[in-house]
Amino acid sequence: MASHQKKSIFYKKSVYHFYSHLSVKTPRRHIDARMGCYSGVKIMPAMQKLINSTIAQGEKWIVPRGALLDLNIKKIDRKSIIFKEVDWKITSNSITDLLRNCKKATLLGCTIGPQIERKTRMLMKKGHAAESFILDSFGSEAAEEIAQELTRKLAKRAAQKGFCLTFRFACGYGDWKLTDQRKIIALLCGGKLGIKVTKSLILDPQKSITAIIGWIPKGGKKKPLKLTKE
Amino acid sequence: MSVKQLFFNHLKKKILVIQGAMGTMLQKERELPQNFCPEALNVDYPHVIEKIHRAYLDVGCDIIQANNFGGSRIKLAEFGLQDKVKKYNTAAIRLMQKARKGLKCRTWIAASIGPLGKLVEPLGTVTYNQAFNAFSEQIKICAQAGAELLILETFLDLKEAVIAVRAAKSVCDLPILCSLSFEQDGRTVTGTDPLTAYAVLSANGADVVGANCSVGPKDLEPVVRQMASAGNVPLFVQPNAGNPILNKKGDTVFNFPEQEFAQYVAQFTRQGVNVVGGCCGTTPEHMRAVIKAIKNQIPVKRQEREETYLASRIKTIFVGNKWPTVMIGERINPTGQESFREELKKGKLDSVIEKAREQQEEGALILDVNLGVSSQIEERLLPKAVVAIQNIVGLPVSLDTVNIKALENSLKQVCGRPLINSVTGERKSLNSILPLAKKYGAALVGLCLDEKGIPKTAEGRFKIAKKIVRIAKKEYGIAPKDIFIDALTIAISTDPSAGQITLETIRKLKKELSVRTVLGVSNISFGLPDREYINAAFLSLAMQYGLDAAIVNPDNLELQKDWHAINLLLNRDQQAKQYIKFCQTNIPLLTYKKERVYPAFKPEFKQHYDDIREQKLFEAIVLGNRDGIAPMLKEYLSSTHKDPLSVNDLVLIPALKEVGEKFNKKEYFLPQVLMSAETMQNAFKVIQSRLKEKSAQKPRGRIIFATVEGDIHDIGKNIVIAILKNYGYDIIDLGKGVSTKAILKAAKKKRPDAVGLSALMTTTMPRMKEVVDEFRKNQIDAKVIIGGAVVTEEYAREIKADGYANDALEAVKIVEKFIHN
Repeated sequence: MASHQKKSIFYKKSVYHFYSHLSVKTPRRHIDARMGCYSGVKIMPAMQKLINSTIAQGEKWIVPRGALLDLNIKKIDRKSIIFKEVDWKITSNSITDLLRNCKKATLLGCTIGPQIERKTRMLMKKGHAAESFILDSFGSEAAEEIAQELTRKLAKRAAQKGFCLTFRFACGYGDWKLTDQRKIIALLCGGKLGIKVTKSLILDPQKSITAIIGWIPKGGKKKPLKLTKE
Repeated sequence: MSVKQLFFNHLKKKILVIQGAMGTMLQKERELPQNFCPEALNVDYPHVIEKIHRAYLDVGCDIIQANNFGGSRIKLAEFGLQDKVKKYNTAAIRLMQKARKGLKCRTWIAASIGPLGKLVEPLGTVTYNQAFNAFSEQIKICAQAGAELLILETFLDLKEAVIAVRAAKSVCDLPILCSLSFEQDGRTVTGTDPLTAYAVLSANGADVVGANCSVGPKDLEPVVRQMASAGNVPLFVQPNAGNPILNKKGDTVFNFPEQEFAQYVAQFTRQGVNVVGGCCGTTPEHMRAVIKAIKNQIPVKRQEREETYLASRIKTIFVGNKWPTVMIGERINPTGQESFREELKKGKLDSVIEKAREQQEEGALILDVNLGVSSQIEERLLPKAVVAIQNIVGLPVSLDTVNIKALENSLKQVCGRPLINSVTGERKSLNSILPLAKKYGAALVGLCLDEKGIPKTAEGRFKIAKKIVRIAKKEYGIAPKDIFIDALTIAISTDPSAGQITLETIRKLKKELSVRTVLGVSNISFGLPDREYINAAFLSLAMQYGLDAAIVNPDNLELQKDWHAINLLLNRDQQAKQYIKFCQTNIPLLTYKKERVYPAFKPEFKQHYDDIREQKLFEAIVLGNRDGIAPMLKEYLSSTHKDPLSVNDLVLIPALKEVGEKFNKKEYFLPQVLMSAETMQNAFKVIQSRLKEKSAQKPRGRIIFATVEGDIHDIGKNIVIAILKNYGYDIIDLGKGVSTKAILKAAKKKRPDAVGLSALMTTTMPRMKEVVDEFRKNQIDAKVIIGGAVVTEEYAREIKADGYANDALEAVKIVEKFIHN
């Protein structure tokens, strides 16, 4: 009954996938590694307890949201790429190299929301630098884990259609100009995701990730993405 | 017999089939214009709509649905057709009447009421009243035109669906079928799960609840399973014909096979679904297959659940004999909290939000909200507070107010099923509170007091409870299980039998009335020392007598330990889930909050002191005993009369150096260094307070810190500051996103020895060069030290900065070198 009405609100469901309740369990060893806790570091029991309770609190404060936008590649040459569905040209050798054997590409965007940042700042202000740092590290890893989870979902979907995925590539790396960040967020419905781009092209909330991933037909030339499953 | 009774009679005998999609059927019609307003077709292309209705009736559908899904004033305004509400909706109903003319079997014609197309506050901009009026207008027109059922469908927001149900109830008495649209993860895009949808919609008066659109039947299976197990309110399901895919032309198509679709739907009916149909992509052929598949299926009777449901938008809390006693957090209450009162008077809700967050962390499952400062403040702030709390913590709320206006305004804003706290046995109270509870689908607290006050016997209190339950049930149809009777607690210091009376009342209530029981526990110990022991013991006893919920301060470890253990022992905690969770999460959290002390750990210490107290101080810094250091140091300085600075130089600073060495050897990692840094700061405060000579307090140097313009990442800079503070420097933190001009101005004014700049992005790094250049141009001789994720030593050389620090401890070394060598 409702299909025609809903299309006008958001993209077609077949191309735009929005996730408001991702179940994310951030691997503890990744958080430890981000904090510089490699093998050889002896964590005091008190510190262990502090990390556990801070992460437990952090898990309550994150509001994971993510979106995937599938785009068909209309034209790709050595320097630039354009898509069928949107009026957007990416001029970047890094991207054309990544997507050269692809039929489609997916834009990925995700965030953990602003709470962790606010808490981190508040803890630092109160002089609890250790908790602040632990929470910040947790936030970074949680955002990464959400991106991984979205990529896993995408890989599953691509596999059903006979595709595998390229690596995830983010704006600002290689020669892909950070100025495209605004367009990416606009295409991913940043308002719905809760992500903004600052004047200096930084994502706000900070713990947010955007990227592009290519779809390669199975048996294609590029080395497909291997996903880690925690 | 009313239409509603006829419909329910039909439902008892037969599984009813609603027609399939309208929208996707219309998209196939070639004669229709592009980008049409679907409701306008009822007037401009009536034969097309009628043809679709007929096609569904021909295959045997029991219910046909009008083409007025977007027929509300707000939705039609998208096409500039807001003045056509009556015309289009009336035409839609008339077309169905025309289509079924001549049919002998009983068929139902239903209005289809969809979302407004704009989200309701707080998710969007449409106010409660605007939404209510838009739905009321559309539904009234449909009812007057002859609709026999109302199908409120495809809602993404639970609150909007509830408003539609309330609007429907306010203008007619037709059967209401209401459904939400769930995603593949089993929740709506706004986060509502199937159980919560069931609980809230049925509590608000939807006669049939369900799910439609968004996904195919396979993905709706878990949704249906959850709803079917939630109670005995009839269910309806209208799945899409699978998930849409793009065909070669770029059109969205559904290609789920009819037979497979029918098999899934038949499975739903075996689980207890009473009304089935199809949404996007389904066709008369799908419905034909469904009718065939359920031909001999009779409606399955589902059991009513014993539990009471309280809910927020995203979570349902179960209250009942088999469930753990529920903790209702009591701290959002300004009584006796002057600063909280002042804040509320200024219209601020910061403390409300903070208290909500804290109580959720500590294990509260429902939050009591009392903003009783003045009636004006309550009326203005209570609705706002409810929205803020639910947005942030997502827990059900208990609205604790005697102000009827504030209560009703808040009930409108709540998304979920709240608890009203409270009604008494006084007729005036019953007459004002019970209608609101019924209208807004809320559960309520009933206090065992009336015009004569609080009875002194258990029998007296029980009598009042019985009166409340009788009137609620008889006059308003409120079930006893939705009433939480508070047997009331009087201070045992004023009446020695107070505890016994309350407990006896609870026992009688549980034995003779099927109500829930609730208690505010802490009154019992009023006027006595060490109140928490009495509170915990009283709560334990009340739980043994069958207490279902208690209003307490969850920041009480002793009480919580008893609470969870007793729930487990009374077989109210299935598989010890809550107890285990409590041990894993809440005990560490509450212990940490209460004691802020960590167990001793004995790493190898390089330095050893003959005086055991000096050794303890040294170890406290190395171990990061943040709260233990100050009393230890004060005691040591008082008893030995030693020079504070010498203690600092001979004990504390060496301890900090040992921390640095452990970090360099990778025995310690940054959080441990920061703990020690914080411990050192606490020690340094004691040292400073003991210093008598002012000259001795002179800082060792002044350093300005800033994260450069355009950059908002400042955690690294803050860590460097946290550590450097221990070395006796005067630190000026300009914050993040600081312009070159502002840094220059501060440097000119404060004349620092060094300036530390941080940046995380390649795009903001160039601001560092600007600062260095400006310093040189203005002949500022402060050393510029830079750092940050993307900054390198090479870059520091390139822009002619004086130094580069890779991490916080390296920053300390460089600063020491620049300022003191």
